[in-house]
Amino acid sequence: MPPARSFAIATGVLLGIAGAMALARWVGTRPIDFPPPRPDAASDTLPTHADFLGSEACSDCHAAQYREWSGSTHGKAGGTPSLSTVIAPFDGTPIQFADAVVIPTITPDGRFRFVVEAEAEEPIAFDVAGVVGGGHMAGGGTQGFLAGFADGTLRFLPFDFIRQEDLWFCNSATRTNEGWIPITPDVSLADCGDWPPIRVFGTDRRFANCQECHGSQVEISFDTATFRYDTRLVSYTINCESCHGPGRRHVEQARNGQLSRESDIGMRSLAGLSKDESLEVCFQCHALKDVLEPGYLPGKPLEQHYSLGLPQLGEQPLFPDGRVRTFAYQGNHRYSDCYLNGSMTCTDCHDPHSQGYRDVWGNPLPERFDDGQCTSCHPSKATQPEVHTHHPAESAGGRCVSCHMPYLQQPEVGSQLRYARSDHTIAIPRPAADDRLGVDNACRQCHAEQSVQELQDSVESWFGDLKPAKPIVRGLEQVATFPDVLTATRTLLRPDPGHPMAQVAAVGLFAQRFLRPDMPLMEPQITSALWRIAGSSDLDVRAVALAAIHLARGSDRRTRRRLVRALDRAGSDAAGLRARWVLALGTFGDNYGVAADWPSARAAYLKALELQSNRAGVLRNLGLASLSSGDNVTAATTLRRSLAIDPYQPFSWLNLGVALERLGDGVAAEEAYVRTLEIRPDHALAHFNLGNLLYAQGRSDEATGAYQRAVRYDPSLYQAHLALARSFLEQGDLTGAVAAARKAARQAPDDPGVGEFLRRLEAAAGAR
Amino acid sequence: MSPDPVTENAEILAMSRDAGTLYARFCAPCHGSDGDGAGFNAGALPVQPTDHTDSAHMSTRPDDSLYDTIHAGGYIMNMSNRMPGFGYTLTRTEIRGLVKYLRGLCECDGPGWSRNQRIP
Repeated sequence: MPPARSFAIATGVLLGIAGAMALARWVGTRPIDFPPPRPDAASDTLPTHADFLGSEACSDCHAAQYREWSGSTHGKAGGTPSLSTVIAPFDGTPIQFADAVVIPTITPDGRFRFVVEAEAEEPIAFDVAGVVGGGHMAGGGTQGFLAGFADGTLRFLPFDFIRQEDLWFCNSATRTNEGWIPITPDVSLADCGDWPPIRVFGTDRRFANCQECHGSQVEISFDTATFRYDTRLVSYTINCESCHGPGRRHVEQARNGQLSRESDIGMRSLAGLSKDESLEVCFQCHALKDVLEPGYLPGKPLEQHYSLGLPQLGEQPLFPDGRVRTFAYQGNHRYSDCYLNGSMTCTDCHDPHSQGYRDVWGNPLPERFDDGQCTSCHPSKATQPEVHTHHPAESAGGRCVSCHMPYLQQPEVGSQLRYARSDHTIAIPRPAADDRLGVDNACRQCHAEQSVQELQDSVESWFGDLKPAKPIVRGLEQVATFPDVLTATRTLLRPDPGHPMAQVAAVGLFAQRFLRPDMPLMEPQITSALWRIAGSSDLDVRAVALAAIHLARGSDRRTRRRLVRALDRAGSDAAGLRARWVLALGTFGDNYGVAADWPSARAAYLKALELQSNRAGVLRNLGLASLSSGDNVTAATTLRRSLAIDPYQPFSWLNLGVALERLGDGVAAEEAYVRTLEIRPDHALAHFNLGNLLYAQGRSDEATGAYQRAVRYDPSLYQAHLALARSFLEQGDLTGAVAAARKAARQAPDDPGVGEFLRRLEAAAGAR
Repeated sequence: MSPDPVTENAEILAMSRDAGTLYARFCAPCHGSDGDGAGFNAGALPVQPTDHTDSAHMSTRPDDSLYDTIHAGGYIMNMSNRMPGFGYTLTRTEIRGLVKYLRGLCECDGPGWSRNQRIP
């Protein structure tokens, strides 16, 4: 072969090899993107608000059910104020605070009104638009009051009434953190978390609340042209359509005589639902939920809008065995053996119309504690129950529910007012284990004088070895004591524990304790365990496992390809899986933020954005994490990205202002604070930040006005009171300064700096 | 109040022959005459009847759970509602006898924590 030809061939081969290597390098570094969300197919079968008619539309044809419902707790769950709906005294007897008097009264034209007379403020009158609750609940029943506001919202007033104790109270959770407290002359109006009123009726992301369950078909929407809200509801009761779905089509068919000819009666029958379908009807309201997508109405698929399992990932409202750790609802029934190994639904015990009690066959029972609720499924305990209960048959301790569904105080409420709910985990009393958890044991409801050990000894002498808790629940209880990650893996990452709720909690806790973002390596046992769990049929379980894998190894190309395939192959579950996956990663990020681990928080949020880049809320949280870590440039950029998607986020505008201030752009920062206040004129922090900015610019009169608005909208903001005192002092208004400093000291009694400042002011005022 | 174990067992043992008859009459059509879940009705059912000879499975079920299922039917145990409840057909003593009979089929007891429970 001629040398030139050999050279050409060799060159060609080398070029080919080089090209192949370059191609491999390019493939090896090419980003592996998750598939974008598919646009939702438009559906004309989903209900709108206009499809709901109210219970009266049902009354003609379903008179018996309507009559039963009218007398039920759902039928009396609320209403417009009247002498028959209001349980609190509106007789002019003042509600005395330390710094205000609130007078509940009925005007000559019949309006129920609160008149708030606070120190050095003009009286404010709130006319009650609706009442929520009627004090019906056996474990503690209350009534709340809604008033209309100029921005179109209905908001809860901070003055609630509790029937059993017969007194006014307020919720101090976000202020003094004492739970629900009776209103006495020692309580400041600012101690009440809902003062000024901020808890709106309905769900809107601009307010930290979720209140659409205190009425029927409650919707609130924000008009971006007028910056006003439109609040709509069908009823303050819990109407027929809350469970049955919209009635318009069914009523039309009935009136047109079509029902006998059509197999579709225009409404889903609730009689033939599966266990989980039946429970979901009640869990629309009676369960903790995370919002996946706003705009839920009965008749829409619940799982598209809410996750029932993921609330466990954040603030852990439940103990490992499902009992309430902070505040929760009857959705923890999904932890009970009656649900996990039985067929139990809410309507097996609760008549859905009368809310009376019945056995599993539908036979009515005389009262709430009747053993028939239990013995209809557990006939082995129906005869000689004392053999099982070890209590005389007709005694309180002889009732099934005394041991298995005791009334437990909701811990977040505190201990001053009784607000207990029967334990729907239907637990077995295990005195020692309950004590370790911090749960008030069922035995102590009656035997408070006995020690935990004495109670445990009694139980063991009667029953010997107690039925053990499920291994995954035991594992959750032992999270803090695992000696190593592989022990935790075997215990918490079981492939099929038959307990979806606990499995979500277990994977979440495992991720929080043992995983980090972008770990260089993950033990094969952990990897395989998480992938097995990621094959679960339960969307919440599947999503949290995928989120954990994504968090820990999402940057590994092989892992990433597999994650992409998991989403690609989800089919009709893809949208729900993605939404949950994003939520889980976002919650991991929030948890890192609580621990001030900002790099990990940012990493988790960035991974959430890989799945859905236009999530304004995730971008906002990423911006906040950047701000908290001192990266003001990234914070500003990210918050602007969030606002480009949703310009009506007051919290994002507020923090953009903070970032811009730190970057020295006072003009832009002021614009951001003003924008916050356009959307939320009552945003106290925005007024306060604006005041500080104006003060720094020497615009003291404007600053004073801003501080005054800040303390009006949040009287607990002691820093604003202090700043106001400083402003007054500089203006020569010593009286005003002393008054403001006193309010600061009342809100921060333990702050020595505040106390010293007040003493000096008072001394100066006294010297004059 | 502790039962007299000898009397209790004697009564139940005396019933076990009747328990066999009751099983053959009421249970075997679905669960099979040998308890293996292959009764002549089984092919027409949407789910396989429980194999009562499966000791691994039967040892996870306490006696009161077996009693409750016979009395109230499969539905309450989140199993098929094709299994009716026999609480209105059989006496409590007969159902207790059937529980004992099932233990004979699987040659097993229930979980350890459940073995000292008595069903009145």
